[in-house]
Amino acid sequence: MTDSPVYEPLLQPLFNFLPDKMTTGVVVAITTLLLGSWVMIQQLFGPWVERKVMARMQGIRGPTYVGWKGILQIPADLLKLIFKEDIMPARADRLGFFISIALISITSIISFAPLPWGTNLMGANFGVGVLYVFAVFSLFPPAMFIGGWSSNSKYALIGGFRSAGQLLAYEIPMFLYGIAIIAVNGTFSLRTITENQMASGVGWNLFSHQLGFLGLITGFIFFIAGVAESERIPFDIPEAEAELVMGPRTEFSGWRYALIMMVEYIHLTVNSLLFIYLFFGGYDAIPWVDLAFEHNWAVQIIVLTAKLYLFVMIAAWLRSALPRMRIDQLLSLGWKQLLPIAIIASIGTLGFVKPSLLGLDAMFKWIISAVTFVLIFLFMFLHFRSTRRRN
Amino acid sequence: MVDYGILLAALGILLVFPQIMRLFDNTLIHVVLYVVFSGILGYLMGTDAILLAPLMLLTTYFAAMAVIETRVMRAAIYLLLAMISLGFSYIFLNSEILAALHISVYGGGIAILVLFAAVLIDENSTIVDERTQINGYIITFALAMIMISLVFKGVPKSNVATAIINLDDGFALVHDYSYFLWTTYAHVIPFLAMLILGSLIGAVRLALTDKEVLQEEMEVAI
Repeated sequence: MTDSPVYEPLLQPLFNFLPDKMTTGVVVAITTLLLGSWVMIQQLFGPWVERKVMARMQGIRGPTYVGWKGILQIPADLLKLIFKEDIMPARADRLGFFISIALISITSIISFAPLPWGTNLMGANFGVGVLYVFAVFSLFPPAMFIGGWSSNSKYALIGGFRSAGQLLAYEIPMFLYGIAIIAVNGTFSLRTITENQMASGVGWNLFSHQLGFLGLITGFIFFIAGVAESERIPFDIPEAEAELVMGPRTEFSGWRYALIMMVEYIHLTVNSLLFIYLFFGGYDAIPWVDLAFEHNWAVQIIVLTAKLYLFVMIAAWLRSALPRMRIDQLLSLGWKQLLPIAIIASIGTLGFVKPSLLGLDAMFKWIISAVTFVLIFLFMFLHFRSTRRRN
Repeated sequence: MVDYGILLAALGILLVFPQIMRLFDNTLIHVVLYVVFSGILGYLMGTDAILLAPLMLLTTYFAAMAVIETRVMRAAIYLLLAMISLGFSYIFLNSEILAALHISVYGGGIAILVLFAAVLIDENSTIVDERTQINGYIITFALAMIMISLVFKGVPKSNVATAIINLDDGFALVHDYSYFLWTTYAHVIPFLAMLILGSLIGAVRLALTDKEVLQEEMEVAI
């Protein structure tokens, strides 16, 4: 392996009996599984953190009975769901019902492969890291749609339509925001993007002067698009309880329900991790300085996990504080606001970092940054004014 | 030198597999058949392609089912699965950027359009006649042939290990790809553009004709 990861000396000797080329493939698969399991363990406690934060905001106590302060509530729920009877609705499409769950869960797990938990701690250092994650993510809309259709239920079908429409509407702006960072760093590799932010004198992309502070806008909106991709309040249109019971998930019960709910949190986790890698320094502990202890793999795992929980808490805070949007508002936000801003911000960021691309001299780069800020605020002002007039 | 005996055997397995799977309606038997056929195919193609064999089998199976299946939505689902498995095959053929693009464009974008269209069609309607099925078999045969030739031509030269791990410098790949597209193959692009324009005009024409027919039907109904 070119990356000499920490796990290599442990795993490589176990598979010496296989041909050389296969050993690497098997080690990659096992490592992805191990790191994926670490993320899956987070799924057992992340929802507990979320429910506790939400309970505190609503003046109630949240889970309290199972384990210390109710920390084992989610594993207990999971066990209960696994042992429940597996029910399939009458006249449901067997293939679609199975394939949707299989697609959703498998693609969630394999999306962990290029996510680095430390300098040498990752499943596979894909050259197309970010692109791979987005490609895998793009399989969710059809999977959710198939799940909704195959359930043979009107709520599930409408939810499936909504889910597919929403995921498509936010995937494109999200990728466009990512493109600016990818182009500036000159790589798709999430590890290289993180390592670039770790260097001394370079801040995290979110508030880096090297991006003309445009990371603030792109990062903020990338995070919003990420929350929308996770289908969480205020963007949980597909499963709006009052209208659609549980949307495309309505007819799934038992282990299928457990899996699909877990995938919802995995979505949140992966979107948060993408934001952390692209804008929030990845596993870098302190911005602007490059200290020796930051390169210790144990510290890197702790830092990344802490950052992940910070974003889980922010998502919980949003969920408690904001009301649900309407479907037209949601699609309008995605297509009419985030997408144009994404294009302006991406061009602005590229223009700031490489002014020659726009045919300008380097001395104009701060002007490009200022013009981009002004353009975006002007666009938002005009759009909100026209929306208010229509309403 | 390609061993034509092995090539024909592998091709036979790929083409026979969907038909044998259709004989049984039991998931366990399907899994056992899949494992056995993957093993045989992997053995025939050697250790270099042993990871690719199960994917190839899946791709041709889904592609065949997409044309054999008479229910529209089921066929659309099989098409989506064929797109996805074909996309993942590219990873083992050292074309990881093509894999990512294929999965996101065809597996994500195009498939959802096909699914939307399929939902609008009556679930029980059959749109596959005998002639379409024969065409489908021919296309599946061509797909199987292409995949086999890819394995025999491409994989032994490459290194599966590097294909999975050492995929650095994605931008250089994009650059090379774009360079060849806009230099060596630049003359193809105007023809493609004409083809797309033609299909666009044809689609508009068909839609307008349908609209007239629909209007006439509605008038009769009223």
